[in-house]
Amino acid sequence: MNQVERLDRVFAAITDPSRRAILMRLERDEQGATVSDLARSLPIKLPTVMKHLDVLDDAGLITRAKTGRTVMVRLQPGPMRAAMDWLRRYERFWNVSLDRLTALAEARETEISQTQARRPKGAGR
Amino acid sequence: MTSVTLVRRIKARPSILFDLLVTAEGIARWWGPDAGPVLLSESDPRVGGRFRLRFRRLVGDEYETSGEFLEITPPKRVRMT
Repeated sequence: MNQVERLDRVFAAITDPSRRAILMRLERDEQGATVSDLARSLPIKLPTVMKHLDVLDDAGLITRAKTGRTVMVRLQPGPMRAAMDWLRRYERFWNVSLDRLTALAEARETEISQTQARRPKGAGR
Repeated sequence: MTSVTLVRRIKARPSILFDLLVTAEGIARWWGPDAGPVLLSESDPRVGGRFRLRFRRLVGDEYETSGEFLEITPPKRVRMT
């Protein structure tokens, strides 16, 4: 999977409130949580939790490890960090551009206002 | 759909901003990630018209970006992709 696909999956994964709740729940405990822990702490049924975990796993946001009959789910911070970096770069790009736009527009406004002030009303050609 | 909203309050009359947002010369003066040069700027400011921009970043690599004007109501509103 390339980086763009990975980002797509991360952003798609975090649009769902149940999946965000799962991530928040996993953040509380570095040891992770079992699938049944997750189902118990959230108002969703086990099969739904499983489906959400598949999506989170595909996005690389969690890992699942099976020990006997229990599956431990852990948060995987890398992809979320990459998504945050992308957002931050995007924010920086637009802030730099909009700062420039603002400075240009305000300078032009000052120029026009001063020209108009110098020429008294009604004295134009 | 995920969305990001940026709000700026700019002390200038709308017509000044409108020109900076839709004309090729206007866009070239502010769009870009850093102080690197704008290499190309084209704009066809009408609904369905496109704009295209090519710039070089200070680190040397070049980027091209383009989009379409979806709505143009001078001098108050511009919607573009």
